Amino acid sequence: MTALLPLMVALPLGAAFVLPLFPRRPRRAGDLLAGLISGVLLVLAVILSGRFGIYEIGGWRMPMGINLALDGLSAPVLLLAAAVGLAAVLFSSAYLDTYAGRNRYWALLMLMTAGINGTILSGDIFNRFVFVEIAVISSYILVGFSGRGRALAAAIRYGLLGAGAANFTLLGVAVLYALHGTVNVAHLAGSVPAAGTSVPGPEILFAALLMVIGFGYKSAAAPLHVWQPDALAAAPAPVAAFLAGALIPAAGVYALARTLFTVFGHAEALGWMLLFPGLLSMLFGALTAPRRKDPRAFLSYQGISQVGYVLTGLGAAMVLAVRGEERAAGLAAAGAVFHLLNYGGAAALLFLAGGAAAPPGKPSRWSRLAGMAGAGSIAGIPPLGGFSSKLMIVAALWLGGFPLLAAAAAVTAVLAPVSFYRRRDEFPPPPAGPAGRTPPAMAAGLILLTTLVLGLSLAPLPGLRGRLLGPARAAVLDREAYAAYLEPGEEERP
Amino acid sequence: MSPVYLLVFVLFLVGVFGLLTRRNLVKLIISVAVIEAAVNLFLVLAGYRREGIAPIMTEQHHRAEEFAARAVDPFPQAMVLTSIVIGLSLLALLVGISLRLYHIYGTYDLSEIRKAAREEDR
Repeated sequence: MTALLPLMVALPLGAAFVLPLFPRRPRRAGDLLAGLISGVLLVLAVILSGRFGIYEIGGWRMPMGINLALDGLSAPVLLLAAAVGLAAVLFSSAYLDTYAGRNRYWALLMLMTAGINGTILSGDIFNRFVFVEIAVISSYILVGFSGRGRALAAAIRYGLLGAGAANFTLLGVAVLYALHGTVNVAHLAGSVPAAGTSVPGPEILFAALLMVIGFGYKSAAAPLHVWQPDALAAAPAPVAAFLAGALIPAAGVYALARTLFTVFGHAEALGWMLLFPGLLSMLFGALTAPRRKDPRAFLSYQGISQVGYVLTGLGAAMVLAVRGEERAAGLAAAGAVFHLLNYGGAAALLFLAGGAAAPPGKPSRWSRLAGMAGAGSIAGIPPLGGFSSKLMIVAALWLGGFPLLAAAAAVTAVLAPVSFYRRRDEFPPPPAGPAGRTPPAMAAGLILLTTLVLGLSLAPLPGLRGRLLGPARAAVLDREAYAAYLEPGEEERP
Repeated sequence: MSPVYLLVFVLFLVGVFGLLTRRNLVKLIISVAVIEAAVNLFLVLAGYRREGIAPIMTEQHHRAEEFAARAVDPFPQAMVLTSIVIGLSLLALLVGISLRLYHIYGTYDLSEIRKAAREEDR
């Protein structure tokens, strides 16, 4: 089964290079190819979910060659990215009519998909850096795709600071290589911190800090969130959905979690490197959002708050794992991964629902339903997924002996529905023109993500819990399992 | 610890300082290039070896151990090439967007551009 892994990167990458060569007419030829590729990727992601293993590219054995790895943490994020990707592509095909350069748009979207999938699957930290760059460089262009001054201004600010942040990541990779002579994640998982010590030295903490800054920028965690509200407000609606629902969760939060938990291992100092920006984002996003007039800026800040919950959960999981509180650590880890999925699906859905109302017309039934599902999940209204995952994180903080942090998270969780309720008329945002209908392709994208958001709400049920959240918890906390990929015979041979 | 590491550190900080304090797009882009140069230099240093030889095994090297003891590490050089290519494409993109912004607003000052963009939005 792992033989399918390279397709997740190769298919969109190939399409990205073919698409600019497509003839301008018939106009739907590019739409069809992009839709087909995204559909195949979603099917592949569904087939691959729940299966674990590595694929060694070109038959080069670990730790020499490049490898792709699928485990309990990467599989759900891959599925999220594929679902958000297909919804964004379906939505774009109806939304794009206002833009010139349709095939170039598709090419960039496919390049970003390839980068995101590569980021999720990559088994070494240098290739993860390269894939993150492929994804974010495409996103810089897509944010400014309308060519309007405001969009270009947002894109250049995002790009300049992003280029700076990327070099923090690369320096972190270089420091790790200089110390340990490898960039293979499984190899590093077995050798960091240096043999015989249990506490990371200052050079390891320095490398970890560089990674936290580099990936923290991509996660839009406070205080590195400055690009996110501008970029999400200026980008075309499907691009904003793709950024909020796939790029930030995959190239930001997932990459950060994978690097800190699997590469650096468990140490209290590392946990606080996640907890500090997590708590800051959670509070700052929730307090700033109500003051922003533009509905998309409001959503952006709510998104920062949700990423804050995820990082808080991850940080708590690491600190608690070090202190030996297995139960609370497991709850925090599962809650954090679950909240990442809820946030990604719901944020993408809300940006799409907002876009569906933007062309002249009343918000249709579909966009209204989609807006309610997305807002309900992000705001954490029971029984939707966002409520369960916030509850898990709050409970883990309480059980783990952080009553103050638990109280802060709980108060923030109560504030979110209030601030969403006060702006209920904006979801989806009020239309500006005569009534119209949502085109079928847009409706299909909305339905797909609504299904995902509502489906995720079922994940904590006893029968399903072990299939999604159990492997995710194990993948976050069990570093030795990843290191075992190195040993011959352990992995599924392609 | 070679003094070159100090140069890497200083270059990196100069670039970050420029990126955080400058407002002119051209200077911001130059700051990015300076940071990149610092990181690339560090990567090359990670594989550096005094009196090292090129990591190509020829007939002059009779024993693998002797070769391994003297050759520089080729891996960071491969990484640095990749990083240079990424840096180049990013630089070209940033310059391209800057030119478009200059055509629209007639200035390279990022804070003025943002102010104008916000007003245009109202």
